[in-house]
Amino acid sequence: MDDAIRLTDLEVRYGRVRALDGLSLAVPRGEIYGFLGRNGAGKTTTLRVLMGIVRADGGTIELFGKPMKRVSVATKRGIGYVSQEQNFYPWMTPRQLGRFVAAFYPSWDDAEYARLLRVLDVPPDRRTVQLSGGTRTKVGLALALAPRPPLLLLDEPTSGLDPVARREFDDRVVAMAAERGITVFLSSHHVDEVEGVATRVGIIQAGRASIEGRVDDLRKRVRRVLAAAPLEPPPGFARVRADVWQADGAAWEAASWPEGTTVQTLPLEEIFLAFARTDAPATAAA
Amino acid sequence: MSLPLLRKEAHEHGAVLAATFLIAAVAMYVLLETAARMGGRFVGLSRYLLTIVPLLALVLANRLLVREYTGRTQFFLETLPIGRVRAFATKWLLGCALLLLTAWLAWVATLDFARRSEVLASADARGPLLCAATYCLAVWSFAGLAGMLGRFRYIVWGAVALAALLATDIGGIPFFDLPVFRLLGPGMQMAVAMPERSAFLVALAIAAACAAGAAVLALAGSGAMASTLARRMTTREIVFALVAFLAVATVAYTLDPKPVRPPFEIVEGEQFQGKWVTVGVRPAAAFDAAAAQGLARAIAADADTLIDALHLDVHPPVFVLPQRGLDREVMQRAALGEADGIVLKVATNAPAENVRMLVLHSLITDATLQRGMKDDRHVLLDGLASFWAMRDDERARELSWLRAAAVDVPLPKERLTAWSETSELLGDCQAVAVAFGVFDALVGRIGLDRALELAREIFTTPPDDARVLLERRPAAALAAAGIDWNELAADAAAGRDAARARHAAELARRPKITASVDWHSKPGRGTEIETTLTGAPRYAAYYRVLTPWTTDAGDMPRLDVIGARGVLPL
Repeated sequence: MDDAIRLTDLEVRYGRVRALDGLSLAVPRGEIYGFLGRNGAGKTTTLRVLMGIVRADGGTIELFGKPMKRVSVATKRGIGYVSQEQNFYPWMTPRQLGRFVAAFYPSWDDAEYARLLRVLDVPPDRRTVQLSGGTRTKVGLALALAPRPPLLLLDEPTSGLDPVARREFDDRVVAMAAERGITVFLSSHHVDEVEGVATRVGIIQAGRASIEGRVDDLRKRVRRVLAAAPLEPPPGFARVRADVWQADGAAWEAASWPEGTTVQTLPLEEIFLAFARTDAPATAAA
Repeated sequence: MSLPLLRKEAHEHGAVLAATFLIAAVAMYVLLETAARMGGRFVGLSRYLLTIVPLLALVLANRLLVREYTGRTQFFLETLPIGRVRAFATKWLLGCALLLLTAWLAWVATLDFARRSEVLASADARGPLLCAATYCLAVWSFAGLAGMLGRFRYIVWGAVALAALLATDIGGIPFFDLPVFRLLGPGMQMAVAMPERSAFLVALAIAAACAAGAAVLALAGSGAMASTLARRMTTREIVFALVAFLAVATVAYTLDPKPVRPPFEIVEGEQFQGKWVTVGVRPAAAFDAAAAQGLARAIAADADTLIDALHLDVHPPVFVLPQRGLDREVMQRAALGEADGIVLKVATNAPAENVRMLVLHSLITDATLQRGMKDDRHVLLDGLASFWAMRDDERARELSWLRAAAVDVPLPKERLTAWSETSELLGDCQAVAVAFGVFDALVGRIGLDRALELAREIFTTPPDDARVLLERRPAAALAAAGIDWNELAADAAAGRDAARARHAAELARRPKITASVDWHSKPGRGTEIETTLTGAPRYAAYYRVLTPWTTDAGDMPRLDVIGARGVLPL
């Protein structure tokens, strides 16, 4: 009951292509959840399902404890969404956009929107077509936060931004999430960005969740085992890829290793690569 | 309906739509002024609905529906808490309401205009209003559907326009009998009679189907279909669409439809009513009533039997005007612009079989919409016409063979299938004789019944549309009958050889005639063109002075020459 989002066996098909193939994950309330995956892994589809833009072909969706087949318009009023591309009406200014969007949200806070524009340094009376990509993304964030939603969905919002703008945006998200206690679901393929922002991470590969958990917990569960001689994973361990194995933290602590074996903890990027890479693992000789 | 969305649409498209409606108002005024001179109470409204409303519907669909997808702002709209159905319905209903509003204003303006010159009760004007509203609903529904097809929308509009054109032009369906347009027919224009209920039902059914189609495109696959279709056309798609459009238009107009004209009316001369045709022949000096009646009966018998034999669906009146002073070999057919029939001017001493042959030739030419004159069948047309005119006259047949035997030029297959050129080379007399020989040889090879069966296939009335491309070519029809052009040419040559043997004595008595045309340029006298014929005591030359503006070589002046040499009077 403490999960803001719970997806169970979610399926979405585009013709013969299975975009989501039994995806299950849970996002606790108040957390910033980093949703990692390669291009085409199913991140955007998951977010579009959560926004009610795409209908799921199977599985269940639970938002704030309410199960549903499809996200309704009423539920969408409680969700803020920032997409990869900001497809605003080019002739509208941020102020006009605010007025237009406000009409769809009973909880819209005009003062908050004005404050957000000010804090995010967005010129309110310049047409959106004249704004830079980073500023448009900030407008998207302000539009998403002004109705004070309990859930914020961010679909690779910084993919087109330079590193400075990306860091600035992420900092704002973290600060506002902390300020309001909202749940943030951040999809990205930039591991460093997710590592710096998220408290919890899920990795999606080919429409399925490969692994999820708190970032420090993942580091305990997935490690590299470098052995002098070829070594098979003992019971309770599973090989993720080549010399990267997965097991409970307790199993790692209790395990005894042959002489000459080194066990390394991994940064999140290595863990992501171990789960996301699909090419053949490099041989020891290579 | 969504009020915030309506406000957004008004802000986004208000200026463009206001300008469009202003133009429509000016057009309406012009149409009313024009229609006032034509009479009819609601002609102006009808014209407005036919011309301006489709354009308005196109503009509205582009602005309200298409633009959201091509500009990708639909993706932004979908992130807002508004249902896809509600957003689509708001836009669709807004467009429909605006179109109906303009139609209502046009109706009010027309009514006001009509009341300046006559008393017109509002009740009488309600019918046209209902027609206009139903028509607008159907047009808007179609525009909405086409709009949801994104980059293919103009192709759909073009296809419908082309279909309407083909239906009226080739199908012969009156424009105001077409679905939806039936609502704007003369009854509505005069406000005297409402169209039948079926006209409304058909228009409403089309509107419902189009609206449902547009909704499916907007909503199916979570709206992905409309987004995909909204992408710009690729160069390959543009080229394909243009080529397809031009190909359809070209194929559709392969043949001009046969005009429907009243029959030529025969009011004088000796007349004879045959089974299918009426023939009139006017007596003249040296061509008395009995001769005229005899010729009329012979022509009617020829035409009736040929129509039966070939199953032709033509029954033209035939009128022959014998005139003194015409050369006996010269026959002219009158061009009848406004009537259907065969009217010939001939010499009083013209050979009867020639006149009868020309009537039959004209009959088949008209029945085949001139396609009987195509070079791959022309020799068979000339041959059949002469064969039929001489079918019971053994003397004329033998004379024809004698003329054919006198031809020294070899006549292989290539000469027969390029008959226009060959007949010009041979001259009328020998060309007709050779053509007769060819058809006679055909009958000799496959029998009269199969020859007529072949003629029925070749000389049928062709469809005046693309189906004409599917008809079997004469060579294939000949092959199916068990003969090809080479064998036919060989049979005809053998017939000529046999005739040469039978008429060797007559052929040997032929005068040796040679002809030449020379031109001389003499100082002080200009250019002279001289004709010389050796072996003929007298002859006639027909000529025409050619200039850059000469377009017609017919009706040429005649020069009679006594002796060998003549100089054309240039």
